[in-house]
Amino acid sequence: MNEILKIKNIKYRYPSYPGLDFPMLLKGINLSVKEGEFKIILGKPESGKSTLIKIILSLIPRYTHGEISGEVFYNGTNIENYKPYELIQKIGAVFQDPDEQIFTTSCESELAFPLESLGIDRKKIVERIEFALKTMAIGSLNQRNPASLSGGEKKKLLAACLYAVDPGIWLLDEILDELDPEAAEDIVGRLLKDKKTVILFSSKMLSIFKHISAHILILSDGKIIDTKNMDKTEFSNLLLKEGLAIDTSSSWKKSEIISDSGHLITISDLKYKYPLNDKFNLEIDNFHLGKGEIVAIAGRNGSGKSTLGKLISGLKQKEDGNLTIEEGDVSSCGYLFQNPDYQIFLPTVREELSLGLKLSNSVIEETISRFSLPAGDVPPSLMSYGARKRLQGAVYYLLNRNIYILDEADAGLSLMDFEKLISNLYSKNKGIIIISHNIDLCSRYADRVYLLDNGKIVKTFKDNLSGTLNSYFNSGEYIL
Amino acid sequence: MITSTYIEGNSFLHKTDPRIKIIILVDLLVLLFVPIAIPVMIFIVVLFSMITAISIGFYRLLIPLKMVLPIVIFILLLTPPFYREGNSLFIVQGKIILTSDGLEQTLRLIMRFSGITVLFFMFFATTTINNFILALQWFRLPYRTALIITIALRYIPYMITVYSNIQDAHKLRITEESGKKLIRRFKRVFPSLVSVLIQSIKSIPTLAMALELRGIGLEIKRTQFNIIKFNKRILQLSIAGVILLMTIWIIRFL
Repeated sequence: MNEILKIKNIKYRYPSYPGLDFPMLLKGINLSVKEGEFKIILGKPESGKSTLIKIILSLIPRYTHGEISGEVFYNGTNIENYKPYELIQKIGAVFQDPDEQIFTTSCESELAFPLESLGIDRKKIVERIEFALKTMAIGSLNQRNPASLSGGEKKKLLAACLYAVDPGIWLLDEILDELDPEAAEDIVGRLLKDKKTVILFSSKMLSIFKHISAHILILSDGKIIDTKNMDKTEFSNLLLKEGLAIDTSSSWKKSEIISDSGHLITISDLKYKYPLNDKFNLEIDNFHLGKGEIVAIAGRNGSGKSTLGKLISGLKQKEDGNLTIEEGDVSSCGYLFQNPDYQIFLPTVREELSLGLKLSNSVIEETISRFSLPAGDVPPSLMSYGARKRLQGAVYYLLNRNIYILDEADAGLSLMDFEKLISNLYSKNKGIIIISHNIDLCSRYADRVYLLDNGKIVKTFKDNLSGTLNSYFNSGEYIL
Repeated sequence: MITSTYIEGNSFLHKTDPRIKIIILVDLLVLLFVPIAIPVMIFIVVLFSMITAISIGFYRLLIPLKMVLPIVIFILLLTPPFYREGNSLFIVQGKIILTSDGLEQTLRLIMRFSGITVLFFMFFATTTINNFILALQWFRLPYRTALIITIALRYIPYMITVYSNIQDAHKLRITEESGKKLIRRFKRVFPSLVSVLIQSIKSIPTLAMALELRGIGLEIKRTQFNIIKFNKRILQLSIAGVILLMTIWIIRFL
């Protein structure tokens, strides 16, 4: 097999700003990818996965300056000789945040856009679009506006774009994060079957990776570690050390201070209808959250999880039914948005933490250290995505709300950071609602899991969550 | 940056050729700026508001109108003092507050402003970005120019969406104190605008990257997947529109 991609000693450091010195992120990356190979690069958030993708795509240093050295070769040619648009048939990518890539207002047009740029004949464009839609099983979405798609559907659309263009190398950044297990298996299986050259980047060791024949590498401390010759124990220990997996043998210990001592939230016959969407109604017959309890709301994308969270937090107003919040009102809810940038808006970390609060310096410093934040004077807008997520958690930690709602909070956080966030919020003996479609996450942290489908709670799981959830989903009765 | 003002639908306006819509839009905008009678202006604004409301729903039409309401209130308050000609219509303690000329100019400005808002909203709510680009290209604009125009226009709804998300987040973080709600809301506008600015600036290189990764920059002649065919009716309507405008303009001076 020909060597299609060669990365030679890539080193990179982001530009520094007053009060914010970035350390060297990539400290000598060497990688060789042969045609038809399927490589998985695991690395915790902020380890440099997305940066490496942008270097391979020639977007760094074109769009982001900084110190860079080393070389990347595509089929023997240094990519320095290419502009990003000259690489579209050679290297294609799906970014972690699909909204950064999607541009047009219909799925069909999104698929056609790069083909039009390549000057491909209209008849062939039609054929390629049909093929891509069929391959990714999203034919029914062809006329839909991508803005109305779920996160998983957007990633499928971007993967379909790659099928339409068919580049030499596929760089997939966290593509499986928002996909249900069945869709994830379909995509990975298809890529393996079609012998595509793939580098899949992920911040978690997903169970699917154990069952496919792929070369797993770990990006740690700016270097690549090859796991090819590691035995199972060595590999597992490395995953745990890097925060890429959780030690499932040890259960997550919650403090036993409060349990079943009254409900913080009680919901009965709650109804909500989007003003401009007749196709979706939320109808919650029965839901409650006890003091000191953690419940998870799971379900497919678009099943109504976030809508329920927004109703509880007062961001949406119910149409009918009862929603009672004990010991306060909706303002006692802390809703952590999926995108931290909507909740962070002040010039420095210190100002952000102390907004509306009278805090001593020692409390601020203790919080900075507790959430591993860079420093008090650092502008949040210059911090990494993971650090901004931690800052968002720190802000709500200090706000002392009675109820915390974490909407897909694991995205962009390592499993260890997520566990730290849960532990810190839980240490205040509050009620926590986790919104997620990750079964492992739900079963590890929640006392009870509500499964939502099409706006209704279809099942509630309470005992032996790990076992019952897994057997339920494996039975095929419901695909998450 | 996937925000757009387009609202999916199957109405008469959705089905109308984007080129016809551009011609009508330009004609009506010109009409609102030439000195026509106030009742004609009101008729145009009401008629097109009704057409828009029927096509995409009354609730949706309220969204842009609500956004321009503060400006309309400013016009209402600040315009009359600058026009002292004509009959006195409203006098308080011997001081003229409103004259017939002041009323006419105020109504003209309000109709002009709300008319522009309704017409643009009607156009962008019922025309996809792709069709808009195709229509601009039909009017002989190069692809890249058409693309830049549509990107610039998409920034407005994008910033509105970001602002609304940030406002939601602020509501959750800062608890209102009764009696100080208005002051606090006002104070909250500034940090919200800073966040919108940061988000918008950040989106510029992201958008440029997205476009380059879709092949914008290649020197290859671009093909087109969506096509709009040449239509004689478009040409006839274009000529009719220009004649209509000239007629209205000439009648004014007869």
